[in-house]
Amino acid sequence: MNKLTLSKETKITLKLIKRDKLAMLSLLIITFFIIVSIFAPFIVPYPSQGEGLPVPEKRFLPPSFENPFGTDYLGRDVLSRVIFGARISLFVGIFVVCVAIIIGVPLGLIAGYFGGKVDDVLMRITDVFLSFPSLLFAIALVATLGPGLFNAMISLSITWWPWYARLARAQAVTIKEQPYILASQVIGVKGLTIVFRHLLPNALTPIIVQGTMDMSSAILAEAGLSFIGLGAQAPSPEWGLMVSTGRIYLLNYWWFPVFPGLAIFLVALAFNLFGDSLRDVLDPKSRKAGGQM
Amino acid sequence: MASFKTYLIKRIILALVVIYFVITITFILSHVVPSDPAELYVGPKATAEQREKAIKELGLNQPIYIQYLRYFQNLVNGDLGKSLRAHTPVLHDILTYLPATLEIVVLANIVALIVGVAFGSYSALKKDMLADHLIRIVSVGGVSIPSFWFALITQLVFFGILGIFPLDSRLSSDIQLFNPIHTITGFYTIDALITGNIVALVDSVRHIILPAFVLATYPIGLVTRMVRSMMVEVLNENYIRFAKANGFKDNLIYYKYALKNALTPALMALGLSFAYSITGAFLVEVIFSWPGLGTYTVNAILENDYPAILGVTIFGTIFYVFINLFLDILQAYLDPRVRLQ
Amino acid sequence: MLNSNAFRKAISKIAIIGIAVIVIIAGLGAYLYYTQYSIPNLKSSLVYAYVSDFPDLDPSIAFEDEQVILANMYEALVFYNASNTNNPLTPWLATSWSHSPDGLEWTFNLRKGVLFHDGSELKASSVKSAIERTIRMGLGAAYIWDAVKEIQAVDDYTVKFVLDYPAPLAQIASSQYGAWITGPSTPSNDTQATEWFNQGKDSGTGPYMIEKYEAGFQVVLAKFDKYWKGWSGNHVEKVLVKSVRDPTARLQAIKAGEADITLDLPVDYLEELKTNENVRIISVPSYRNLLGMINTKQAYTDNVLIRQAISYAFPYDAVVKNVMQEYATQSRGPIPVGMLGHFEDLTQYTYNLEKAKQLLSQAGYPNGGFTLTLTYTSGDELEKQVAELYKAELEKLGITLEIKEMTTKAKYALARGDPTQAQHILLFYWWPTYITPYDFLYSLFHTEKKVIFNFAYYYNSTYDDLIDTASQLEGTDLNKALQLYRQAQEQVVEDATSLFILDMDTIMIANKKVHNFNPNSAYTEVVFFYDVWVEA
Repeated sequence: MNKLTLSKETKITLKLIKRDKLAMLSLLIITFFIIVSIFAPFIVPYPSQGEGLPVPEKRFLPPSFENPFGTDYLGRDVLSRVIFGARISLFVGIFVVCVAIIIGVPLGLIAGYFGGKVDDVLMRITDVFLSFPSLLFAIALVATLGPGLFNAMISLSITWWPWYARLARAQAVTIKEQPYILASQVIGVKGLTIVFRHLLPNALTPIIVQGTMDMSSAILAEAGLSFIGLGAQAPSPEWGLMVSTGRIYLLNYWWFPVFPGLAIFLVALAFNLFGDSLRDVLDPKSRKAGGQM
Repeated sequence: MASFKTYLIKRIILALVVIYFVITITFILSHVVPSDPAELYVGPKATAEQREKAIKELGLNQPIYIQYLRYFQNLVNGDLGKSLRAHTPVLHDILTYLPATLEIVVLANIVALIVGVAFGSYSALKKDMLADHLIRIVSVGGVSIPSFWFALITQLVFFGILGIFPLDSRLSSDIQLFNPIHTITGFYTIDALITGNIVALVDSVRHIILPAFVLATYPIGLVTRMVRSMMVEVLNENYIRFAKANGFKDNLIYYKYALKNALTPALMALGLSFAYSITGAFLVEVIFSWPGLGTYTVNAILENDYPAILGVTIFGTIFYVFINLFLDILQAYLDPRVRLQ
Repeated sequence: MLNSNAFRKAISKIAIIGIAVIVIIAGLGAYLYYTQYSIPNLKSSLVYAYVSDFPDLDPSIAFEDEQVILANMYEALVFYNASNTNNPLTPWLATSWSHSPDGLEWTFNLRKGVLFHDGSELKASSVKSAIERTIRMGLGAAYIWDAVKEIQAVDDYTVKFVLDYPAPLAQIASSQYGAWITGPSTPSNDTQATEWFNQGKDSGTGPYMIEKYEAGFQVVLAKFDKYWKGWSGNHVEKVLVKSVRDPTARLQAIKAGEADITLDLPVDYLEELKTNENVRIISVPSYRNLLGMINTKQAYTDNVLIRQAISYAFPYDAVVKNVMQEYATQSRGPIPVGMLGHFEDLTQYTYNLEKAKQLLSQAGYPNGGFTLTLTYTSGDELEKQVAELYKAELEKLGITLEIKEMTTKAKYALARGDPTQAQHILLFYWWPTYITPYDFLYSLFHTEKKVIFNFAYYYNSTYDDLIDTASQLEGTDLNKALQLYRQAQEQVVEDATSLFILDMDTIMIANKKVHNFNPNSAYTEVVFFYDVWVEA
């Protein structure tokens, strides 16, 4: 019974999204970046330069047919590097969001399902974490752990999970009153089994929506950390790092900092627009309002 | 009113717990770090004796729990430690750099409020029309654009190509030398205005426009989206329709009822984005060589000046926690439903 | 749907009122603007856009870039004129000096009629207490006075230093760190004095005093009326020293005339500036070199053949030509070009992959097949580019170079740990505290009980003896000392203890209206504002 409603939901969702041109466009951009980053070594014009091989005699060539995005301070093709950078940024986004979900969702579900003391303790901890300014906290964390892409990702994940805990808890609280959950309780299914067998699959939709939107925040935050030297390290083609390196050449060789930044913007925009549409579609309240006007 | 009191007390306790946690975490961070801070304190070419001396001075030779207690005691006394590099009290540094940051943050948020409310309500009025879609792209764009990159683009366009705004810093050199601003509030624009130093005022306004504009993009997106969704809801509510049906003039309805209702959440969004901008300003400040907390922190990161980094973290958290506390209490006061949560 | 016409009308009403208010304010503002705006007397002012800030203005402690300010507010006993290679030591606060034949007693005769900024006269007692304060605090560059046993104020204008062992005291007294003479207005409590200095106070004899100090950002200096050289002739009377970290901002400042002097721009921008009619580029040896210290205790690089091989694999020419655009030269041993103790005919490695392969085969690694790690400082553009180019060259030998960007502190922490776990190659710069080869040769390669800067972990007692003896002879028998220094340098080059990469130039960019500006390599990046003048 439950499965049936879900697929009906999904059908409506897909239908509505198909009607939303912006959502389709952003989905297209996301797919494009994913494909491009998977096949990066095969499609970039200069794979070795993408990975960091310098060509000192070709420094700072403006965009041309051979180097559509120009070359950087070591003569490397900026286009190739931007495409390689897509791999890093998408990976960072997925990693941060997944780790946050893996930590946050079980905690939230457990808190929501069991209620009482467990709920109190877990939610107070969540509240404490939510009350930190997350970027500042991540900065302090990476600054002391030592700069690096991995440390940056860990620090972001640590500051991110409480949002999912809160979201999952809200889901658990509503779902646990459903008849089939009550039925399982009656026949003596253990609490944790119910949480992971029944609550988890049913709470997943809003979490995925939130995750999509967070992809963009995670990518932006990581690029920001790299920009101030706390994230990826040279010669990594990480976008934030490339903007940071290219910054001092901005006024003479604009292409070097501009294109990687544009890539960050496009990806973040696509994820945000898509998530925005998803939410519009999935949130019955806004749909109702839309229908009436 | 009893439930409000309980909520108030609960909320304040939470704030204190958060602050306690931050302090503990920063202590762990500063003492778990493997290499010793004494080294930076004495400088790159120091001898062994100089290091010993510094270790004693910094209390690094004492057991960890004593250091912890001392850390707390010092914080209570407003002592955030001394910068390893410049040997000045961190709190003093923070207070020196804070006004410059607040100046752009406040300006950016005022801009965000005005633009966000205008965009949001217009968008709601024109729901599903072209203007609505355009504004939606702009507002989603505002929260998606990497601020550090956008800052560079504005420099490229407005300084590099058009040449209408200065590249960076807070004042031009000749103004610094010949029309210096007498510091009162630390906000250059206000100080210049109240001391009647119009030359410096014009100059400081020219310098603040780009960084404030860049910093405003994120809150503009945030406020626009919130105002739009609230306005859409409010315009649908029965009393507005009732008012329309009874022949009230459109603009009266619009201002008096609809906008007023949408303004509360907009202010809430703004409060959050204000707290956010304190860290958001970090990246923007660095690019515009803006002498604020962000520049201070990023320099501290480059120099591995832990007391400074952690001092800013503690200060920033306290600031953030209190803004949230204030907003939550305000909201609970205005809207009793919140208290029940 | 609401009628938006009404909304539009309301908006236009607000707009009209707004425009009216703006017009009135603008009119009033414009009137005030033109009455207030005085065309500044450009002739007497100068703006120096400097790279960093000045963390500690206490002259006894300052050990970073503070000399840029301090050298204009304070003076030392002796001035080191780097452009006069034969006789660089010239009088400053001391008019003459002499030493006993064994080099253990040095006497300085002070200049008469020199006033401190508080109006009191320079006396031997001030010199004594100033240097004693530096020694007592033991911070920053205080170690340069290590040899000093006692300072005596013989009379008001004569100071005598008694030493424990021979040392070139006149050179030491010309140091850009730790040798400034402070006056009696310095608070007597040492810690309080440091705070006092860092509030922007000073107690020197120099031509300028701080008028306004904004820590971390800028300093305004104004002339000291009673400066002993006087103010007749062309002199700058007011100076703004700004800390501008962003090279783009410095470039723009000099192009727009916002700054009169700046430095350290990416070499890629210098080409453009060469054709700019308003500025000139002044390049002098900086006494600063870029080294790649090679770990002699770590696997692979503990083998001298491999160290020599990787020294031959470094693309010296590509770095000098492409990265530095000839604004630097390939190093010849550890002492930078132009400095005392540098020899133009010292052995030098060149880029020669054949030779490198040959040496690798001898070492038993004909096809490489191992990984080396290299650390460099975050944010250092040159080190980064050098590292990336080197990586590509070592790749050709089958050696993988793993590059790690680290903050200075993290880099040192790693390097000062267990050498067998530390980096293989560490990029960093060295420059002298006072002008002596010993500074380089001791700090970089002398045996250390605990690692401080010998990141080659090179422990060679013959080498130690050579330079220790040379150092003691420096004040009395310079030629003999130089001969020993030379021998020591040949030794470390032979042992390939470091990549000797670049001797850096200080590249200063000045507006053509700035005259008589001649950078002095002994005072890193200092502009002696009193000496220059700006055309109206």
